[in-house]
Amino acid sequence: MSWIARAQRLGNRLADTLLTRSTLDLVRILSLLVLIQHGPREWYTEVPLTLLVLLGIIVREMRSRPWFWFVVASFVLAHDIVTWPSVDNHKWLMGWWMMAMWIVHLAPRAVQLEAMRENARVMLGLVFVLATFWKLITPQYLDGSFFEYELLADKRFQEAAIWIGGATAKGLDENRDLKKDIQNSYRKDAEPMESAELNSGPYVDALALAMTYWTIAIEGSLGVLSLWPGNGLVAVLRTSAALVFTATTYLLAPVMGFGWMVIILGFGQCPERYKKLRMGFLLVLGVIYVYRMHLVEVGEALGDGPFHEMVRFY
Amino acid sequence: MPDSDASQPREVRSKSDSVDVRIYKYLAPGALLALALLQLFLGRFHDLTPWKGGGFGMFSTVDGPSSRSIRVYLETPDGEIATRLPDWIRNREKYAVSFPARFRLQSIADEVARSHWHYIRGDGWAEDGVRVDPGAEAKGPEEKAEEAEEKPGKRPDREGPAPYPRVSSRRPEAEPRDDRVPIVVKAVRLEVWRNLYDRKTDLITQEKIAEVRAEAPPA
Repeated sequence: MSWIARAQRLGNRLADTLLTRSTLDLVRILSLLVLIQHGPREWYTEVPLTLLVLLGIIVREMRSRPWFWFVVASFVLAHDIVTWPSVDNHKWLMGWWMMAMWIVHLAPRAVQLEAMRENARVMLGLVFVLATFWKLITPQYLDGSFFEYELLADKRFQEAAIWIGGATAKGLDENRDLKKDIQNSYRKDAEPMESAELNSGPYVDALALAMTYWTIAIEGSLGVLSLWPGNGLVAVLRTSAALVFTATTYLLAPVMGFGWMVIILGFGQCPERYKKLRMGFLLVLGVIYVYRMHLVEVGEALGDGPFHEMVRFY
Repeated sequence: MPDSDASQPREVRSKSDSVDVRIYKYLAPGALLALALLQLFLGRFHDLTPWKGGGFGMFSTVDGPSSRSIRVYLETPDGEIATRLPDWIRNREKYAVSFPARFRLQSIADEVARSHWHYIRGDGWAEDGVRVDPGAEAKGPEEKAEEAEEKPGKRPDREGPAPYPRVSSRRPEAEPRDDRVPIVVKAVRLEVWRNLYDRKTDLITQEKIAEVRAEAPPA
């Protein structure tokens, strides 16, 4: 048997093992894992929540009870409400999703799976319709300014700015200093800086415009397709759009908390008969997580040698 | 008490069942939408940054929390001193920049005005708030413009003493330090600024979005 055939057989076995488990239970486990990875970080919520989550992962009976999800949702939403003006949006999405899991588990068992799928579909749709709406009403987004600024001044986009935009690491470091300088200049300079010119690269403009319109297209499509009910072709298109979104976005922009939530919602809403699409979410999660969180760290730890360059390239 | 479901006719039972199922499916998304609409309103009309507040406006605008900052000015009999928020107020700063509501800024300004401020040595200033070397002037605007032409994108290195004396503060409830020269603060002004970006010129500029003033209590 060739190694390709062996890999395919192994992949099918893994898919069967993972996907014969109840969809609802898989979603429960993924939802608990996201809290460990990206949940609230204040000690008074993180400590009890982590203990609860670990118990829930180990004890299946516990995670299928409504009271368990009520307690989890209460912790997450209480944290979100207390820190409301500063908490990231993906933590709000986590809170609403935990609330949805509580409400789903209050339902009769016969409708729990359907209720979970609908919650996932509608939340996915609302999030992306809202995100697209904000972009369409913001002129500095539509003209490419936003992504150009992010490429030049946000460390998260540094790799894209260097490898595709043609900017230099030194120029981008200076840009981040300039961003701080202009904010602190009022107390450090006799004549405060009124403006600062950012270092750019030959293709940054074009890259920014491409990212701008690609994002509107994919987010808008995903939003509309998700709010459109249906389990046939619409479900396939919707699930595919979610996969394309996560694969293309989170390789460039490591906002992993939100990425996890899109994967959970995308997986949750996907009808069970589309096994390969469902498996796709789990694969995308694994690939993105390994690539963004570990390979880059390994490359940085090794410094500026040839291996680092190779790791950075891939 | 009789079971209300069993006593209902079959078609009415189905209708109440379908209402229940809709609650299970749409209550949580409904709550998400309600908060998002509130955030949209506050973002458009009350300077809440679109990046926060549960409305999913992140990655649509330059106006995120890291692009906003607070400037602090102490009004003294000898003039204004520009400084920054005391370390012990920093945890409230992130809320204030994300949503610069007047009540929040005023509360911070009042606490800063009640604090005990004093001079510290450094950056060309002595412990009593007097410039160490009056002859060492910072570069003039023409010199800075020349250097900017030679190093585009990088601002000129600062020379000479900082324009304001270095200051430090203690909380209002703490005892003032006997070993430091106190500053007589008449009032405190806080300003919230945000970055703007023009892609045609690659320039970052700033825009003020909120300002409050708090009088210091009488000595």
